[in-house]
Amino acid sequence: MSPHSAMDTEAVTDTSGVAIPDPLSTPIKSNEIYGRRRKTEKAQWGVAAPADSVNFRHGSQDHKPRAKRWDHHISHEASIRKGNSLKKAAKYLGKPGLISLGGGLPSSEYFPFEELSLKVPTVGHFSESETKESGVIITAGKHDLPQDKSIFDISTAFNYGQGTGSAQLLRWITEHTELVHDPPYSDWRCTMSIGSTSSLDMALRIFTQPGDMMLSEEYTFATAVETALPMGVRVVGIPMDSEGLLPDALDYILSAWDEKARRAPKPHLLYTVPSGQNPTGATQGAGRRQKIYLVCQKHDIYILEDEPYYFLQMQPYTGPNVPDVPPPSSHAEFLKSLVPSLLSVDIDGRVMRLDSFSKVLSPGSRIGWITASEQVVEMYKKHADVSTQGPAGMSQLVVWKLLDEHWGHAGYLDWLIYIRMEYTRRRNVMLKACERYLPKEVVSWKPPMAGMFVSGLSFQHIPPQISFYILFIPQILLSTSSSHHRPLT
Amino acid sequence: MNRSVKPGGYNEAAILSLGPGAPSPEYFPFDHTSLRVPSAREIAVIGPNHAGVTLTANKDDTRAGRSDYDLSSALQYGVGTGARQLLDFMTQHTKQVHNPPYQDWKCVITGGNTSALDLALRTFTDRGSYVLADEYTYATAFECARPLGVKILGIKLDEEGPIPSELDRVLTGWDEDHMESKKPHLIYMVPTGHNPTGATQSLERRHEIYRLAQKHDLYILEDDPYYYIQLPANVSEHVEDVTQSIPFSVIPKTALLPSLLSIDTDGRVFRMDSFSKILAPGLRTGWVTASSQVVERIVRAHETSLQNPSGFSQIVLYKLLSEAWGQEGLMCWLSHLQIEYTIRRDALLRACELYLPAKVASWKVPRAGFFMWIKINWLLHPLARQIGQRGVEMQIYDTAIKAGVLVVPGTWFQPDPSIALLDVFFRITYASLTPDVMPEAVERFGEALRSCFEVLD
Repeated sequence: MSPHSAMDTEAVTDTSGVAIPDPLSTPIKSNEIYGRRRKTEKAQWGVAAPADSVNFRHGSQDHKPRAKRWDHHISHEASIRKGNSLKKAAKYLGKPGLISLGGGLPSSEYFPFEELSLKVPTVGHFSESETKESGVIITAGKHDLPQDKSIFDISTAFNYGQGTGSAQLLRWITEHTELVHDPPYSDWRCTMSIGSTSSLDMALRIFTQPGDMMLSEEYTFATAVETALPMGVRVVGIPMDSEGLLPDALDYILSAWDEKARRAPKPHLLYTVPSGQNPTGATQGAGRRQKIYLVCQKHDIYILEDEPYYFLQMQPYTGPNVPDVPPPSSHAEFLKSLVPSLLSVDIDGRVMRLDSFSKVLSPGSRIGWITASEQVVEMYKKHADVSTQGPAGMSQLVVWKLLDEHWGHAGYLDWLIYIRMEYTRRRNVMLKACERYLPKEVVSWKPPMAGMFVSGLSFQHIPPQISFYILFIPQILLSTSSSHHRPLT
Repeated sequence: MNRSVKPGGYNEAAILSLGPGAPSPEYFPFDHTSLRVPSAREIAVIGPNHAGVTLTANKDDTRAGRSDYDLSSALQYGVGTGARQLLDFMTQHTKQVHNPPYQDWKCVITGGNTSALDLALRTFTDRGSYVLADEYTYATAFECARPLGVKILGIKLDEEGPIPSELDRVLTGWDEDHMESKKPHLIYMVPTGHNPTGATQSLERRHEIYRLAQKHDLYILEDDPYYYIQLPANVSEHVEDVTQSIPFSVIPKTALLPSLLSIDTDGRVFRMDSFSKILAPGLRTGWVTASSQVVERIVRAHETSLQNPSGFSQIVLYKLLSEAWGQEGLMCWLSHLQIEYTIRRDALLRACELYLPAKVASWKVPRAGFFMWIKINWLLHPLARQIGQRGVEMQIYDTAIKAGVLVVPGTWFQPDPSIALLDVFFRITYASLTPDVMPEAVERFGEALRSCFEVLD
């Protein structure tokens, strides 16, 4: 790759102005969020209450452009899908004095669950053993909402909801997304998913038809390929280097696309895992992401940004004999240390970002969310209403209690810093073991900066056919179950 | 990618796994979770409002020998069948209740019936195919099917469900050229407490439909979320009569009608069961029973979509059903629901008798489920000829809302809105309001009807 050009210099004239940051458009800080929340009616938190993330953003969006429209990329199936008419009628439930003989929602008196409690870590004491010793018990009762004890209770969480997920958790998710990414277009929205595997499945149903080809890294998440194939969608692999997808290769493949030879229309969809990519462990740096975005603008590509490992970004690796980099000293420093996402530079609204709690809280929560433009999020919501529905109410209640009522955004960032340092420690231990035990004449590797995988060990002096298999078999895992983890000190 | 990870299955000491990307349970920030529930004994004797037993799931229960299933397993990546521990219980339950009459049937845990239906349609249909259903059908079913390019053909209904002779006629006379599609091979049914009509197919009707399915080689999607909410034929005069006539017992007092699964000698039934109406919708969990060939396809579909249901839901269900209640306790609970919904149904029926104008509104007593299907004698409307069925329906709906009551128009359940229906119906439910509020709600509906039809009595 050619070196970056010298710094651009720009003359400032006598008559040019300097923009002073508008307080309404400056980035939100984690400790400001609760103060900025609008007062809400109790009805907003009730059973099956409609939730729109537009109401939960705190910064001004007026200075941002609207997203582009994607009608030309959207599938026939998604364009004809109507909303769930029964859920639409739920809007009348807020009308004062109205009694409903309408919906088939069972009464919570038949949910045989009176009280739910969890033992969770206090902020700053996150380890498993500290949780056992000094953890806190948080509880949710059946009727906390009418009793004014909490805005989310068992009666509400355990009943039917909307495909977006509960307003309570959607608010937290929207605030978190605004805090971390602050998308640069105005009509961005969030909506919940039941995990990113499902999000990808649904995204493909929105953006592809049988016979399409989808772009991805040449080594990509196998499940993504297995999801696309039965839908009649084949994957085009784009060459990578140690930093992931190569933008020049992407540009070349698209510019030279021959529909006849390829027997498929020019692809309009890119699936990428920019941080801690599975399986290679590669992480695209900020500059790399910018370049990929430019190529996608040039060829009008819609981007599925799948980022389950975004918060598994680690401290820079200093090597076995050099002192470690100290942990981030503030939330602002932590957020600055993360590679900016594609969403955060998405001026066109051409990115659907897939987020998940699987790697940061637990896979069993089966909760994630997508962020995209309003047009696309509406389609996703309608689809969720007639298939997956929203995430399990039980999971939502647990996660909301922990993240909103107990830790708050500040506590959650502390948890993410804890995770960062833990995965850093594990990576360092693993690399130390590699240095010690693997023969350097034959094997080399690149220290990963995110995720769970050490990028493909490349083997020299071995016939190419065999090296392919060796690349895949030892996908070195940075997390083993605690009963087998023996730290090498 | 190796997909055969067993839940929490790293306990084999011999092999240290460096393979799958599953996070360590060390980083699940939950030490334990507890839930207070009624004990099985309490449901049978006192009633479930004395929640007496605390179920606790710790991270290390399995390692410590306390339980077969713990939080570190439940919160880890699972498998497309659902957690084996919960699956075993549901399989046992299915055997006891339905005892499918063929050898290789299997169960799989799902994310609820809406999800199961979506996956069934993706498994059994192609774009342009027809699926048979009812002239009034559960709206979500056709809203799910349509974008897939699947057309729903509604079969005429009587008070039990789809009319067998109609079904036979449609299939026997199928003209592939005229319909521009192959003869349908899939039928979707809600045989017990049908949504929206409240109809329940008798045993004889189920046998007739099954024979036709065999004749025309149809595969049956049996969507049965209200199966356990089967209610007595007689309406009680007073609440006390209900509780006296159905004393608490382990066996549901209203003997359950056999399901289609239980008469399925060919393995052509895909049965969808759900916890939504019998425990809670927020669990987002259900189970499907079908032949092992079909179940395998659903498991594969799960692996590239929902994966498995919420781990929190699965462990709560396991603790409640397998450890606390057992099969008998669950039956006790289901009996309790039958009694409760009978009380509710009867309260609504009495209110309807009292407040709805008899000349305008009529109905059948529902034998199961949550819904009553009110037939409106639309021809009596003063402007019937001018505004037609849809006009009458619209006016009633709007007037009811102004009067302060929400009811659901029958046309919302029409799979094909272009087909003109002969009648006007409204769906009302006894599931959500308490019996003391029902008279008020029905009175308002009665008012709205009287006002629309200018009835004075």
